[in-house]
Amino acid sequence: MGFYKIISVFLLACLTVFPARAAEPVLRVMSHDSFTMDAAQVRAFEEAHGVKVRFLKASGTGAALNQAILSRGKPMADVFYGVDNTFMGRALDADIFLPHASFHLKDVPDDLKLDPSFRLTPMAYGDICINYDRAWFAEKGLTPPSSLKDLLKPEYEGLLVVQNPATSSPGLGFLLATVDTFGEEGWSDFWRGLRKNGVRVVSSWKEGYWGHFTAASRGRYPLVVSYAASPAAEVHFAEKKPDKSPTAAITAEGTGFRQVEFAGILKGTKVPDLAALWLDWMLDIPVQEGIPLSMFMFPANEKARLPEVFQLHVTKLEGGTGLSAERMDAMREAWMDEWTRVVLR
Amino acid sequence: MDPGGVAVRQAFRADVLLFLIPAVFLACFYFYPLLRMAGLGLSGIGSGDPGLVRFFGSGDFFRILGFTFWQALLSTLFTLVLALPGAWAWARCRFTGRRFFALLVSLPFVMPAVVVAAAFLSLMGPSGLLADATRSLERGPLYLEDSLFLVVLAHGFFNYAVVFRIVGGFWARLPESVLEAARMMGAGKVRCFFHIILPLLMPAILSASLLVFLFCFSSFGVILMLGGPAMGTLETEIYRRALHLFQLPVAALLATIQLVLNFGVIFCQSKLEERFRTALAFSGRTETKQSLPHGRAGTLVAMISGFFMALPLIAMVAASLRVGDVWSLGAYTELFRESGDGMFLISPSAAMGHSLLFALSSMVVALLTGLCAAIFITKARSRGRGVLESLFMMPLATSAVPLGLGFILALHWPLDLRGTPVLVIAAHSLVGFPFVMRVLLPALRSVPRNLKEAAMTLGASPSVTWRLVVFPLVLPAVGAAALFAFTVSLGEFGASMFAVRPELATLPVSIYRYLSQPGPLNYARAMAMGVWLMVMTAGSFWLLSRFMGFLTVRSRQGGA
Repeated sequence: MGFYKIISVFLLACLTVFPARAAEPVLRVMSHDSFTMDAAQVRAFEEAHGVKVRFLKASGTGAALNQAILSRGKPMADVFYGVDNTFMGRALDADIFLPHASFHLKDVPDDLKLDPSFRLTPMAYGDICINYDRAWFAEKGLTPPSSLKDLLKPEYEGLLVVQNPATSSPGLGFLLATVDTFGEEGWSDFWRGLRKNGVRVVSSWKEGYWGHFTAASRGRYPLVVSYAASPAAEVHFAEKKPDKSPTAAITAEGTGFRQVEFAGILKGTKVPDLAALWLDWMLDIPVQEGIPLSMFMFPANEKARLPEVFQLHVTKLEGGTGLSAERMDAMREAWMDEWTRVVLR
Repeated sequence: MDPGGVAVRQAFRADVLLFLIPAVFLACFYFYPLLRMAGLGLSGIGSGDPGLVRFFGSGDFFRILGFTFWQALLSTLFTLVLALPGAWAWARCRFTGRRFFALLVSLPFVMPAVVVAAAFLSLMGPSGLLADATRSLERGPLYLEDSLFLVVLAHGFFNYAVVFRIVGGFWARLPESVLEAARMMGAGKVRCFFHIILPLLMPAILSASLLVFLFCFSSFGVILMLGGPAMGTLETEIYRRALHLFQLPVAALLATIQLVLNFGVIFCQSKLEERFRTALAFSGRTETKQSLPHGRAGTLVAMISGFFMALPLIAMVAASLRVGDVWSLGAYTELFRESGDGMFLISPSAAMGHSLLFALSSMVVALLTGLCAAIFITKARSRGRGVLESLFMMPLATSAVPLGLGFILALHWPLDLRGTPVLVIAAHSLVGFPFVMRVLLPALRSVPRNLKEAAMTLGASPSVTWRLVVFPLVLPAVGAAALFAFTVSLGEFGASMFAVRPELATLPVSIYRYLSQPGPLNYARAMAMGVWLMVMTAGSFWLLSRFMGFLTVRSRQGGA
């Protein structure tokens, strides 16, 4: 009966695969797909606090939050990084976070502190806006658009690629920018106009940027919805660093949306103190200074210096976002449904 | 006590174990998580969830359902048209590069959809090779974008291997004697094909078509990336509702409906297959190369098919060799460097290590559970067999999203498995398990009953009969099953995205992560990793085919 012996040995072997209880405490950090940080810094944290840090990731901002909410009460992690202001209302409603007012919050500008109960701590922010291909516009002798309304002009026909807000977080940000700029009355008319002017819709950021943007992929569209920091990434990841970024961002007031990313301690954690230490540490200057080049966002801590490539190639969005978290949360679905009707059907 | 009674009891105990191993595995890692997920949908109905009312009241549901069927049907027909000639050429003709051809057309099936879609775009997209080549045409460059046509084309490319392997494998094993007999009685080639070969091939063709239909019915990445944002199938709608719109009840109900439909298709097919199954002497090995006739037609068919299948792969290689607008090897030199861009973009070589490790472990699990299930089903005589077989096949067409969410809902007790590598292995084995069954069942069934009976009459116990008579006969099929489970795991993407810890990222997950980063080098790096995955897959196919060849030779010698 060798066959059954093999099976039993195998089953035993399987059992030993289960994680043995480690003596070191473990801090589990859950996040979305674009979260990343310097490995050496994480190792330093582990050594300083005698802890092992484990990361869990889901695909995309919404997906990660959804997983955290589904495992409410029996959290898969101790810290969650990456709730943004568009989903903040939902996260707070689900009541999955413990309050923690970090010492470093004094160095964070007030307009980022969107949760007065401090269950969500602002960590970074990024500006969602339109990027354009410098060479393309120079060659055609065309000035890039300077406002959203410009996009309806005939000279910009068939030049813009945007993402579906139902599947992409920059896509949602851009939809919110149009709602903010044109108001409840006007935003869907604007999109009707964009559709007439040949806007191209794709499902995800990478499809738009890598598949259709002229500057990144020999696509046909010289305008794409991306981030204000993308031009810096174009320089940073180029094989031979150019003096001038091949792309630029349109950041005039009323052309984009500021996405703020928060972190929080998950309710039900067995190591709340460690989790609080982690949040403080993430908001401290060394980690904050690493955020630009790892996640291509701006650090929330004002005292953190920006790397040179950011200073040279990045402009920030002017003006803030007029939409409150409550309104975004209440209206998000209705806006997306309306958008789908106007733009896709 | 009579010895016969002991033997019967032993056989019974073995049968119970054969059933329990796959059943417990599926119950824990498949049915239980899915039931928890379905519960969400049902509770949504109970509470009159507004999202549910809006979605099912608007007619969106029937539009999506209809489209899902339509595209899957078109894709299946296209795949058959595309792949059957290739299967014929491989099975019945001798030509140079026959093995390479088999390898080439099998590759796309195990490539992650992200990579296949990217490869198609780099070939036929607005900035692809085709557009470049036709730029000087009077009516402007030729390219395809966001269309059903592109989706069907990619599905054909993707699933070519399914038809090729199943039908081609079956075809190659058709006994020459049947054909010779027919020819001797004066049947022409055409008559011979339609009256003898086609009916004999029918179970294989049906089985392959069903698989392709299921894959296209639940296709995800290809639709999302090539169909454009306006194209909605059940699968992409589940994903959108669950992960982006937070309408879990809608997603859960859709997933349940999809499961029921898939089960229906699988069940119907297993009934059909039973009816079409023809007693077929099983030779236990494919025709040797020498015995095949030389055929110019075969060479031609293989060349055309091979060309079509190679093009997107070539386009991907080309994309990996360009950083921005410059031809460069930069992406490849980067592959061997530890990535300095943060801890989650793990080095490609580490990702490859993880992929191999997961693929090996899930191959073992899938083979073990699948083998038990296949043997049990072959032995079972009861009426529930068809249902059981269909139930075991279910993981084949289950979307990663409900399963992933189900894992989170269900697998925290008694052991918290969420976030452990066990989950990745379980998910990969789940995907591999039905493949193992698909490959093993026909092989087991075609073991001639009289051989087994002869062995028993001569006094061999069931286990001895199995070991000495049945096992050597099905050994090539076991090898093929292992190969399938291994390579399917290598390319698995959806469930890994949910289950894998970032520091243990597999190659497909890493490719996806690099694609989400800006900068031309990252894009080229993702493409280079795609090429690497392709090479690895090809390597494993080649290695296993060597290994299988060795086994077949040995088992034949042992039998002599």
